[in-house]
Amino acid sequence: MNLPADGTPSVLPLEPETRAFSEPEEMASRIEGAMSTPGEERQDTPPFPTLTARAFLRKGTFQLNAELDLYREVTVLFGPSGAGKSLTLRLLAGFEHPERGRIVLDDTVLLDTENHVCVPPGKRRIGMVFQDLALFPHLTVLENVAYGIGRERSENARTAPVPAKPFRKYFFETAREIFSRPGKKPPRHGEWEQARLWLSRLGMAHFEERFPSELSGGQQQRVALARALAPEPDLLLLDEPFSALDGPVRRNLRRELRKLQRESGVPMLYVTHSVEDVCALGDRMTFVTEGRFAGALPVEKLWGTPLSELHWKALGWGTFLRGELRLSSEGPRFSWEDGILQITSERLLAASPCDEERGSFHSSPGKNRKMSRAAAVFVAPQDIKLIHPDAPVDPFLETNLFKGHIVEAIHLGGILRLTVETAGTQWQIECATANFPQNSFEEGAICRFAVPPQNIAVL
Amino acid sequence: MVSALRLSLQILAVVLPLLFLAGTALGWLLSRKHFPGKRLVTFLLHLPLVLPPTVMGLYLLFLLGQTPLLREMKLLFTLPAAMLAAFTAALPLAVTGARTGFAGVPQNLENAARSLGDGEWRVFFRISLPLARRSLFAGMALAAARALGEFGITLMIAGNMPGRTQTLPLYIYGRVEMMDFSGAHAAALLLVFVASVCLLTVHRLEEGRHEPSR
Repeated sequence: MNLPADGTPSVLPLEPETRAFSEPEEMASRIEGAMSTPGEERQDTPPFPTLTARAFLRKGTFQLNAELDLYREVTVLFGPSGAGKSLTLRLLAGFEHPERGRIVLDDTVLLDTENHVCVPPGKRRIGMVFQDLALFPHLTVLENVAYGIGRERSENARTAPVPAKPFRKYFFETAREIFSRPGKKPPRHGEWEQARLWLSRLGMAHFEERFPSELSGGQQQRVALARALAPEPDLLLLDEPFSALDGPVRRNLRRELRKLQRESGVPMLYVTHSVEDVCALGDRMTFVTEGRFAGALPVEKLWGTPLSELHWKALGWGTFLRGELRLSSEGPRFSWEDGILQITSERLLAASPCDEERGSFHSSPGKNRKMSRAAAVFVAPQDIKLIHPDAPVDPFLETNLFKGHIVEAIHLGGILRLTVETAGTQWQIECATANFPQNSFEEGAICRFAVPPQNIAVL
Repeated sequence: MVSALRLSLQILAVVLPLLFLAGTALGWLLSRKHFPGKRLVTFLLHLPLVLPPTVMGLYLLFLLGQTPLLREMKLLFTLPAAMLAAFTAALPLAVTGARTGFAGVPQNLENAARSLGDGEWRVFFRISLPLARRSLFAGMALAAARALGEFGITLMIAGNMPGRTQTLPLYIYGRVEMMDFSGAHAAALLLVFVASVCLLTVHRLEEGRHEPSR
């Protein structure tokens, strides 16, 4: 990937294996980092990750090469379906066992295939919100949330193999645990109070006696969140939890999740293939395609940085064109099968110096007649300017003016998302509807738009 | 008839708990685990369903009568032999019910329980078992009916000794042979009643399955 050229250190520590976990100094500062209060100002690269995972897993023909560092913030794991996102979560939670790998959470080794350490899922202190929520249908909302609270997860059980217990003691303890249904547990743990607290935090206080099947999708989602957060895990994994919800509910929940994260400081790993989720929730994002991790970067850098093609492919959002870059007397131009785009020379220079495979410009100024190289450009949807159907075209936008018909128009309450087709190319456009008369952009209609040269990223 | 009824109930009292344990364990194993020879185990478990009871009885007869250790136990033509007959005949039904039940529990629910701090035993008793309950009990009801009505295998390995190994179905057979139809009818009516109750239970459980299980 191309890293930002502004001098920020590499986001992903590139020497994973050399990072020693046992050195006392590093350990101390790692713990310090882990203890830092959540409200603190977030640095670009927090000193030490709270979780490091390196693992290799083969499942049929699919290979997953997980390389992940998580800090005390929301990391979004982004990639198309089938890229191995959920598998990564299952790996961290302990439902899958990799062929080789090492996972360290805070100062606890959860998995180390070399030393035959594998902490069972129940002792990892990793919470998970499942894509299908997986609420227990036979328990009430309150029982669901109280399910994981006050469970004995002794410190030494987390670090070392389970200490040997006399069989009789083990038998009776297990039997007692087994037959204590949540409803019949002695109240000494205070788990009911704690469960109610979490329910009220998520605005579900009035539903505690209901069963999950009696709740709406958004409400079930809240219960699932409360259930995962209630045991106060050291890490929360979220597997596309909001994918089944509609717009407003989704937005509200996202906001609340963000707030909860800030309050509790629990690091989260959020799997999604929605760019909206990334921008609204994430502090940092990691791309994964076909089981390979492309490296992390802070979300606010997402649009400013020339990213690699892999990244854009993973994003799958916006307009991505492949063609030829030419330098001509009128300035640099990008041409592809269906048209020509004027681009600015600044954007061209900002782009990475073209490598050998793409072919390079012959920069001798004398023969600047026909110099070209293969290139790709990307335009983010919000960077394309729609033009008012009745107004004259702003002279500022006269370069790269296109006319096409609308293939798809989605109104997202204040925001309009269009797919416009011009002679074989599909453009994805996003704009605020406020500036335009109602119903001016319906499917099948003709519309005009401009692609300002300064908004075209050359890859 | 009273002694036959008592024997039948004795057999049920012993066999049902055993069926429950074995059925649950095997059902869970078959629905959750992969192990070498799983197909063979499944095949052998289902065999009593399709084999003629007399064939099952014949093999069991030789097993109990010829195998060195088992022969010494002198099980043939005793009440334990009748219990074994009932158990063998009913096990496939108990296992199938349990297996269907466990297979219907989404693995994600079990994983959710694990992520909330549960060990494997706890997951089983608090999530899998309660959710597989309906199917499990339906299988048990069928198994109970089958165990109560066992005839062929029982006749082969336990005999037909009034007061010692003569269960209700054998009693009916004996009555008919003696042309005592009223006695046969009385016993038959009792079995019809019990079988109907079992079947209705199964139907109730099956109907409720698609509703949210509590």
